[in-house]
Amino acid sequence: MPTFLFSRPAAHRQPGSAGPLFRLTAVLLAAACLLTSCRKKEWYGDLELAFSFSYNGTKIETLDGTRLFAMPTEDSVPSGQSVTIEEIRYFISKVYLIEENGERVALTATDGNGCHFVDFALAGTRQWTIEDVPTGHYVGIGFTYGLDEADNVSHRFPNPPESLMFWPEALGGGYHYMQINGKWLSEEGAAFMPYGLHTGIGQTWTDGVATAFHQNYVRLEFPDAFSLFLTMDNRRTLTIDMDVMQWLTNPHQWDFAVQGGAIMQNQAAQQILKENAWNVFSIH
Amino acid sequence: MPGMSSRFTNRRLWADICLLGAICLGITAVSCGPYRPEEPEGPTYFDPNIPAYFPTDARIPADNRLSVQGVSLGRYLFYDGRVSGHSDPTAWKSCADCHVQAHAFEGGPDYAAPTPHAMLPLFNVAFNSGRYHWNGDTDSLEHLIYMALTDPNEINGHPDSIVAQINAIPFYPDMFSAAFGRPSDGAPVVNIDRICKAIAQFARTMVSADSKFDRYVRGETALTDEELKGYLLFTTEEGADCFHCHGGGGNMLFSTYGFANNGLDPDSLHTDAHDRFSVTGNAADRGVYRIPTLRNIEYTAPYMHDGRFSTLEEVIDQYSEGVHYAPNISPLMHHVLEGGVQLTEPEKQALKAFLLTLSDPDFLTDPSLAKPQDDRLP
Repeated sequence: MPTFLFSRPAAHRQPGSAGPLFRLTAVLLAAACLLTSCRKKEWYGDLELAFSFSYNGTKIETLDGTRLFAMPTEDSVPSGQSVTIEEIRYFISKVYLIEENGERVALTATDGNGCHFVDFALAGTRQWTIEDVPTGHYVGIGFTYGLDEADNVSHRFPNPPESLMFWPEALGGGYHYMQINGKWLSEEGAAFMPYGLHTGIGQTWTDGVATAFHQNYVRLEFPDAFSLFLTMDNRRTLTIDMDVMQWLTNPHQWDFAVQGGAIMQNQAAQQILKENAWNVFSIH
Repeated sequence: MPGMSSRFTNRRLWADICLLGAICLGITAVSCGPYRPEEPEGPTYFDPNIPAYFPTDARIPADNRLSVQGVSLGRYLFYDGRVSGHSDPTAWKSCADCHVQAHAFEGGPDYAAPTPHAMLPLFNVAFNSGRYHWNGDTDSLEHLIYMALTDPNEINGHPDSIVAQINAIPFYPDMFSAAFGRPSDGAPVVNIDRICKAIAQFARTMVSADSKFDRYVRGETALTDEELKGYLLFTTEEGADCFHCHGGGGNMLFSTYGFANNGLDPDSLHTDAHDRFSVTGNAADRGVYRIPTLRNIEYTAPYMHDGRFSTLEEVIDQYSEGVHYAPNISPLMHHVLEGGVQLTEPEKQALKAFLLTLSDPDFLTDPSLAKPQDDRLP
């Protein structure tokens, strides 16, 4: 407790000078003003990340807001295999912005874990607001597609929808980086067959036992992708678009007839998607 | 002018005193809030117990928090056939007449459910992140209970009769007051909304989380080699490929509570008038049903939405060799072209051994979920 408030004897006070009660009042008022002015620091703004989806450059829409169905056959992949898409989900993590001078500014999520789950069917997940981003002129962005070793820990997400992405312990544990579920058509007249582009930790198998694990997340960076001035108390939006066709074509062409419908135990297939990841995302 | 100086000093002193008094009053107002007359004691609310590795966000509606009194009332109502509202005792029917604790609150293998579909387990509903019933026609447990109370195939009561019957039983009004208070507008303390809420509160305390597999995940016991082999099959795409829909160590509810066409029938047989399509009107939902939990699967025969299978062996055979193609089959049914996941006999046995680790026998005898020992209950 500050002693000057009460230590001076009253007899020594000059007439008309401020008494202890007055000083107490003044200090309380000042403290109250200080407390009420404790708002967000002025040199921060908010960044909103929006997540969109496209197929060969055409924005993917849904019929009822929850499902994607029956991509037109003219959108077939070069191998001639038409695809439908029913579900898309993925994790993005470790996001940072790149300043004009090349400095990277790590962003921290408001929930403190720095990971975000995107599900096409859940509109609320298609936006992620990151608060208290330092103001500045940004020209690029980087992020991790999937979850790295530090983030990909089993039981980290106890609640759905994230918990439903769990990746079995026997396969390396943690979570799927991505699930794209749909069907593919080998030739006209045949039946559309299920596929799941499920990525996560890969394995090397020996006699039915996983003897090694492989990290398949990808750290992506988009320097000089935009010019964004973030000013104090301002909110700016960047859109991260996933072009699903790029997973199947660029640079490696995907062949469902070879890869089949399930790839969680197929590291060669995981590697193809890992290398195609560089061409999947674009920033707007 | 000494006099003026003295008056001035006194005035300052009084001003200081008044200011200090105002500050004290302000602090008192902020810290204590407005004065309220003494209120009668309300319900004793509590948060649900969250088992290890379960979701931490239990699904408790803000307007129906769990309370000691509410759960107790719900337990009485759950076991009281008079909740049917019928005056003839031979027509009384309670929730527990069909939802039998010894069968994990299902009807048991020999019980022919009068509903369009087989029964679904009534436990861990507080953690159901999706919808209820096989076709997901409601997303509210309270509404589900209302449907059960009034459905001609179930308890077949009329709301007015139910309320009148319960209100006429001497001990119930006081229990309702204790659980929900007295309506400020003087309305009756017993109403159909409160009946549904109380039963829902009790249902949300039906938590099964102590199977052998739970203890394994908690590091308290080990699985046998065969059980581990079954678990490996359960959680691998090249094995039995169960986990995407039915969970595992990372989804301890053993269901996503989503909807799927699991290839049970060929497309031509998707004619059920009560499937998911009947709710959504989306043709892609024909033959689509909610994914049930596999916890306590040992106790919850018969299986599938229509109860067509009475043993786990039949269920495993279905997924191994009996899967039918349909244009809207779940994309997670990766092995439909082969008619299923093609398990060997030893693999089938291992898978069954694992499924039996999901049994929680203590849940079947948990005294807190049993019928209250009270002579006032019929």
